[in-house]
Amino acid sequence: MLQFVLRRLIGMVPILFIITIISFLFVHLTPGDPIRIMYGAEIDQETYQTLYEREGFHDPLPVQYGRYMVDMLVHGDFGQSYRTRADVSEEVVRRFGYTAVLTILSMFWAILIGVSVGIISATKRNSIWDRAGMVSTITALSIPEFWFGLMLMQIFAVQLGWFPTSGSGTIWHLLLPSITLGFGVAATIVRFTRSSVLEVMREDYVRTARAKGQKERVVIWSHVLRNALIPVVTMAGLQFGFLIGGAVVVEQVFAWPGLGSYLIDSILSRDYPVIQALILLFSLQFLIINLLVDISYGFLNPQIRYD
Amino acid sequence: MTENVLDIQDLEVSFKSDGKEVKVVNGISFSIGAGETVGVVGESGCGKSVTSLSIMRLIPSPPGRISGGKILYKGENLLDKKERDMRKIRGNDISMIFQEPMTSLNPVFTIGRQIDEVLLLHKNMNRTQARRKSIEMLELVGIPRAEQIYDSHPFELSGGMRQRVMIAIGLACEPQLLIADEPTTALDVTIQAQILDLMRGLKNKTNTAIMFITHDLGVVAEMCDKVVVMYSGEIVEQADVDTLFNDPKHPYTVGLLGSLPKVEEKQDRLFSIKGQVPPPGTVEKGCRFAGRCSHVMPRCTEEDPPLLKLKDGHDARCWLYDDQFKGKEAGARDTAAAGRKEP
Repeated sequence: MLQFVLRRLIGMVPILFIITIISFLFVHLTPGDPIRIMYGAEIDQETYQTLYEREGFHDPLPVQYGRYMVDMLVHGDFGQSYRTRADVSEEVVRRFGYTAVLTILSMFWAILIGVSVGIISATKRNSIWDRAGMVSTITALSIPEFWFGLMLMQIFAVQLGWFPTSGSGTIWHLLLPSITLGFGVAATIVRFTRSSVLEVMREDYVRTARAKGQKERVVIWSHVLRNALIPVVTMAGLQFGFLIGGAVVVEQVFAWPGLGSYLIDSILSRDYPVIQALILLFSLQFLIINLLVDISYGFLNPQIRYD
Repeated sequence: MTENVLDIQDLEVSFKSDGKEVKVVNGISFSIGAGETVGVVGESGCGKSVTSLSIMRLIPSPPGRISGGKILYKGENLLDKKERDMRKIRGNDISMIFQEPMTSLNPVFTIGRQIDEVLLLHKNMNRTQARRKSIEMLELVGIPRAEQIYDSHPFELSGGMRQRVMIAIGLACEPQLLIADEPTTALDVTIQAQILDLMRGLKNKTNTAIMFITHDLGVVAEMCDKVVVMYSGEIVEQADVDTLFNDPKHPYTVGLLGSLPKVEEKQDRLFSIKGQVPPPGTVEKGCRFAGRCSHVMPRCTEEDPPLLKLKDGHDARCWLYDDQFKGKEAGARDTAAAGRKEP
């Protein structure tokens, strides 16, 4: 097991290395000049030249890349933001907590709603509940997040005044954004759970459990669910990556001071060090979540051995 | 005559398909005495498995529905029981083993947990007692290293071993009746013989009545006291095993026996009954076997024959044996007997 985790962690190194190249090129080859964007078009040529050289833009790209990698790997320095001059790593660490809380809570809603509605839909197949569930999931999957977020804000924050419209600080600030972010994933999980449960319910061992005289509730919650959840876990793990992307939009809508809104602001101002650091971080998160999903298989499916 | 453990009377089971209801089991009646082994024989799709699932009240519903008749277990009609009371019977008084040992055990639970489950449900045991009894059961069904297997998962066991585990689960609560739905069909021939030996041995030890569903007449000859031959949702012949093998009456039974390979005769081709079982609901009138019968008479396609009592304990559903016609159709009957190969 430990060996498996170590091997997987080592396997991440080349992937992350390739990602640094891609993100570096992506950032530096995108049109737009960070200095012009930051200081406006009217600064004189001399100042421009000084700033240009201070950021090292006159060097060829491979040299700039080499410097970026050496700073990062040797000095653990992700650079300073062009806009704020703040250390990127400090700012990322500060904002990471906000995004982590938001995505984890969203995932909690998504799994809670997704799995329970999925089970109800499957066990009461073709009933009014099932139909309602399926219509809701189609609707949820079709609505864009920013619009759903704005609607929630309009109804629950502006008209009813139950929650703050935006910002952070209390648990109430977190509720609307996390629901907005989680509902799309919840819909996917509902559909996945439903079909997985329906499939497992046709299995012979479910009939065996009934033939033992087991209660239907136990048959579903123990015999069926344990098997049906194996594919759902994989899917939920992959959806986590989707959540990170979704957080970018939702954080912007609710002015949540996480990494997502930070990324948008940084892209708009071509704040290269920040963009590169965030892309690397998002990739790392994705890899780690995948590893956690793989590890969780071992607990769900006894046939899986880590060797 | 001993008291019957199970008495099925005029059982009818229907399935809904494309909006119309089709009877797949059409008024069957038979009984199983205490400690008796009754074979239920027939081709695929003749309603054997549906009958056995009906006894357990495990017909998937919808689309299935038990639409008539009675299933008496020790004199009580199971069809009148509440689901809760039915659960106390399943796995405890009547248990069942299935055709597919590879898929009949839950892949994510240990063998031990799956045997314990039935004991914890019905026998008021704590976990330690259940564990002890489960290991005892594993030893009883001839599984070596029972303690170790107790903690194994199904994927670590072969098909034959898994079927032994299923038998252990089936017999753990010492049921009055064990329904074995083609328990050896999916197994290798050598393993089949082992499992049959095991079942026969256990039956003698525990005196459990067995309803043995199979399409293999060889298995019937080895295992059963009585045989019920089903065709297209109806019983076409029933008799004790010796009578059925030595003096089969219904042309379908004759055909089934004729299609067994024989060691003493060299045959290039096995005899087979031509045609297929008509899908349920397609025969509107007359005998359901008429289309495949080599002794078909005009009457057969007009009137549905009743199950005729030939002698005590031997019934056949065939106009050949109708008393009124005996004289007239005697010739046909003789041909029927002659058409049969020596068993």
